[in-house]
Amino acid sequence: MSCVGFWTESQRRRLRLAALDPRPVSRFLSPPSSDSKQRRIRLLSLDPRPEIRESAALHARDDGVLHRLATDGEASVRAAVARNRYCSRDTRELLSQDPDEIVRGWANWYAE
Amino acid sequence: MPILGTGIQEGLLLKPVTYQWAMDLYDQAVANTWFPNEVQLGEDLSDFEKMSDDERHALTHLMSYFNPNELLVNKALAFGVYPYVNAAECHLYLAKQMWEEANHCMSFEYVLETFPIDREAAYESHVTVPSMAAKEAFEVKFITRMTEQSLDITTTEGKQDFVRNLVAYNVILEGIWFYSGFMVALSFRQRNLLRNFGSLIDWIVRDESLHLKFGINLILTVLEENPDVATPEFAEEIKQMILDAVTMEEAYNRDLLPNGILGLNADYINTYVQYLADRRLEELGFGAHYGVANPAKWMAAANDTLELVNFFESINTSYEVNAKAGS
Repeated sequence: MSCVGFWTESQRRRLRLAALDPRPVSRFLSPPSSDSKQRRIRLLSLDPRPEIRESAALHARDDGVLHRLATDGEASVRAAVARNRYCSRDTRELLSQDPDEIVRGWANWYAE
Repeated sequence: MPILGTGIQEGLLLKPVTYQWAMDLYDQAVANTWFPNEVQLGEDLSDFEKMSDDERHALTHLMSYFNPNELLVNKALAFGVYPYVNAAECHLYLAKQMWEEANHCMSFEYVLETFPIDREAAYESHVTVPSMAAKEAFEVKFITRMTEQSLDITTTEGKQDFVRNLVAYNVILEGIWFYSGFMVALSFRQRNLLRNFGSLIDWIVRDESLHLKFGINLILTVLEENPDVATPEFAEEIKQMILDAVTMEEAYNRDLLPNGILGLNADYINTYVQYLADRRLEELGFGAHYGVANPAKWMAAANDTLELVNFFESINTSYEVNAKAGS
């Protein structure tokens, strides 16, 4: 059974046919970032497990949450804040003084 | 109850949880839940239009590799992993992982819909670029066996085949080859290009780091519960699979970046590939083979692989914290 690979003539023919159809396979209708997601992230940002707070830091849009996580005891959480492009200038400035080299690296890189 | 089994009559009760690491990974995976269009990729279009032909070639090459392979990983999970795992907590995690692979596939679809990438030209590289065809032939070899053969998981040979499949798909495809691609994808952002695309890749990397943790823990648990599996010959074979995978990836990266872009060249990426392979070897209980330093320190912040070393330890710690929080 040739179930994978893109070298079969049949798959290449289907791909050529698909190119004639301009419709996307999905309408990508989920909201950009819903209020309920941000409420969930606020709760996750209070979780005792640093792995969960890292996820919150990576996905948060609320700078109040990001600013609080920027002072988290775990460097990995602060690094996730610094990587978040929704982090405000004030929060990023705070992280640019961080004792951890990787956190400072991300904060300074985004500030450029 | 051992972790391997048919999963038909067993694996229907979640409590008591036998493998707490799987439950913890499930919690982390749920915390990571996201959708592709939370990222406004359209804002990156002006960057895409400014990019050089070599930069577009690299992005196209990456998309043509990632997009089908996310689906391929799901086939491997469905045929090669899920049916042979007994624990309900592992099934929960695998179900979330499969949704994540679908979500990643749709994320790359979102990239292909947003940027003017010629799909036929992109997929043509699967035919015309020997290094990509070699990687796919490796994957096909294992997925064919998973889809066409049932393992007798009660025998040593069946358990070894299960581990081989996991090493091929989890350790090599997801844990080395994908990470090599992620580094190239994130390097655009390092140069202030495609920042939204970078966020999308960041989220994917975070998911993938959990997939890797799950797979490594599954392998280590199988080896611990089945001392007959890890014979010296089998260990040597597994190590050689990883070394061969590095050789394949090195050739692929030379085709990916024939002229170098964004401060990257094939040698730089290939040093990172060797660094990754050493970490995977160590996680499986082998010593490092290449002994190279990570040339891309910034990638250390973009993934969680270094945490694997103390993974069991950190689970115990979080448990104590949870127990106190709940008391």
